[in-house]
Amino acid sequence: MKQIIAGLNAIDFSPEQLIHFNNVSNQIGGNLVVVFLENLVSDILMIPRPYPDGAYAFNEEIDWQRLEERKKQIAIGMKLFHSTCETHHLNLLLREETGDPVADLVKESRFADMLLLDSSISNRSSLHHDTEISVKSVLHNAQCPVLIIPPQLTAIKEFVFTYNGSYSSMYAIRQATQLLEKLQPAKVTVLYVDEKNTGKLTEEKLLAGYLGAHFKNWDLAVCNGEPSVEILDFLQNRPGSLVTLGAYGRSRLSTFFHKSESDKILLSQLEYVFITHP
Amino acid sequence: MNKILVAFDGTHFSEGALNFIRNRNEISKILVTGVFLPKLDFADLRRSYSDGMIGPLFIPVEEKPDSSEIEKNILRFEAFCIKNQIEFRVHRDFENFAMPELKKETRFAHLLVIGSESFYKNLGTEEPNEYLQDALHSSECPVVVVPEKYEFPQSNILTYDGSEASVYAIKQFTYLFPDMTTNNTLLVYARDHSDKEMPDEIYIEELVSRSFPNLTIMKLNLEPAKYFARWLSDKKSAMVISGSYGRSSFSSLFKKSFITGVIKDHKIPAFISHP
Repeated sequence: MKQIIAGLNAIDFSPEQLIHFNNVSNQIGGNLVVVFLENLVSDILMIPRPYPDGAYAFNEEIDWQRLEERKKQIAIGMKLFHSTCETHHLNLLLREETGDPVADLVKESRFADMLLLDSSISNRSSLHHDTEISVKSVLHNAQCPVLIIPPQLTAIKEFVFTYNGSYSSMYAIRQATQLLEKLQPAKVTVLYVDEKNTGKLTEEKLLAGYLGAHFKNWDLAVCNGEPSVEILDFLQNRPGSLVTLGAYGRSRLSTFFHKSESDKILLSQLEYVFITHP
Repeated sequence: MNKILVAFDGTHFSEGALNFIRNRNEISKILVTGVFLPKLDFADLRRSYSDGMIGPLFIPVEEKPDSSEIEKNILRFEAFCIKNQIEFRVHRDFENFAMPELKKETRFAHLLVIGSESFYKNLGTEEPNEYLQDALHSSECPVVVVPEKYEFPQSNILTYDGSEASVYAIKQFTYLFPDMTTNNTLLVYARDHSDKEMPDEIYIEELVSRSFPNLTIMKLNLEPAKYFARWLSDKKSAMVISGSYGRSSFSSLFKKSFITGVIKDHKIPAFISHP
C-alpha cells in the first residue's frame, strides 16, 4: 500500500478537494494521509514592523489579531474536515502542521510515495502575501514525486510522457509507470520535444525497449520549438491527460525545461501534472 | 513487466546474477537485457594515463577484444533465458568506454543486476573492485549486487540512518519487489552515536509499516562501517537494502560504507539505490 500525502490548506479547506484527492489516492492504490497546513509559525515571524526602516520583526499586537483570525478559520476547516469524512465514510489519517508549510511538506515528502497538491493552493494559503505556500518551492525540494491535481475533476484517460533524452525526463517516466501502474490509461503518448532540431529521437531503441515492457501500444508525437509552448499546445485538446515532467531537478543538469517553462504548464491548470526529479 | 539489466564484462560470466534473474522471472515475468561490456586492459591504462590521473572510469576498451569469448558468453546467456522461458534482449555493440555505456543502459531500465565476484575481476583482487564501485555510483537505476553462491532472500534488512538516501532506497525496493515485502523485515537504525534517538521515528515507522506487514524495528548502538557486517553474520537468506553509494564526494568513500562488508564478507544480496 502506497503512502500518499495530500497537502491541504487549513484556512481555506474545501470538502470537494478532499474528496477529489481521496479518489485519486484510491485509484493509485494508496492510503491517504492529509496534512493540514496551518502555517502559524511563519505568520509570527513575518509580520512587518510599522517603522520606515523596512525591517521585519515580531509585532505582538498585530500578530495576535491575525493569529486569532487564523485559528478561527482553522477550527472551521477542521470541523468541516471531520464532517466531510463522516458523511463520505472516509477513513483518513490527519496530521496538523503548524510550521513553515514548505518545510513541513518537504519533510513529509521524504516519507511518502507521492505528494498530491492542488495547483491553486498558493493562492489561498495565507492572510497576507509573505507567507503563501509556494508550490514551486515544494517542487524544488520534494523528496518524492508530486502530482498536481487540476481544479476540475476528470478521469485520467491518457499518459503524456514528455521526453528529451535526459535522465531527468526518463526518471519521471519510470517513476510514473511504477507508481501509477493501477491507472492503466486508454492511451500512452511520448511527446518528444526536439529542442535541437535533430530530427531523430534520442536513444529510440532503448526507450522503445522500456515502454514495450509496460505498454502494448504507445504513440510518438514530435514537436520542435519552445518546450512549454509546444506542450501546452499539445495538451489543449486532450482532456483527462496526465503529463510527466522531469523538471525541478536540484542540479542544473537534471533540469528538463527551464523553470519558467515548467511554471507555464503548471499555471495553466489544464491537466494532471506529475513532476519528479532524480 | 519490469525491465532488468544484467551486466557482464567481456570474459566473465555470473551464475549468481542469472540465478537471481531466474527467480525474479518465476515470481513475475520480466524482460531481461544482457549487457555484454567490452574487455578492459590495464596495459592501455598505463600507456594512456601516465600523467598521474587516477580512477578506473577511464580505462580504455581493449583494442582487440576477444570476440569469441564474448560470443560464447552471449550464447550461454541466450540458452539460459530460452531454457527458463525468460524474455530477453542482448546489447553488445559498445564502441566506447564501458562505464558510460552501462550508465546509459541503466537510464532505461528498472534494475541492474551484477555479480559481485565476477564483475571485471581481472582488474583487481579487492572485492568489491573499483569497477563495481563505479557501476554502483553511476547507475541511474537501483542495483542488486549478488554473490555467486547464496540463498535466495527470505527476509529483508532495511538499513536506515535518517537520510534521504536511506528512505529513498526503501521506497524503491517496495516498488520493484512487492512480493518480497511480505517477508520478515527488520528495519535497522545504526549510528555511531549510541545516545541519539532514531530520527523521524514516527514518520519512518508509518511509511514502512504500510508496505511491510511483518516488520521489526531495531536500534543498533554500533558503528556501521566497522561492525554492521559482523552483526550480519547470523542473518542468512536476507537481502540488505541500502541507500549508500550516492554520487556526492562524501558518500563515494566506499571503504567507509558498511555495505562493503555486506558484499565482501557475508555473501548476501544487496539492493542499493540512491536519489
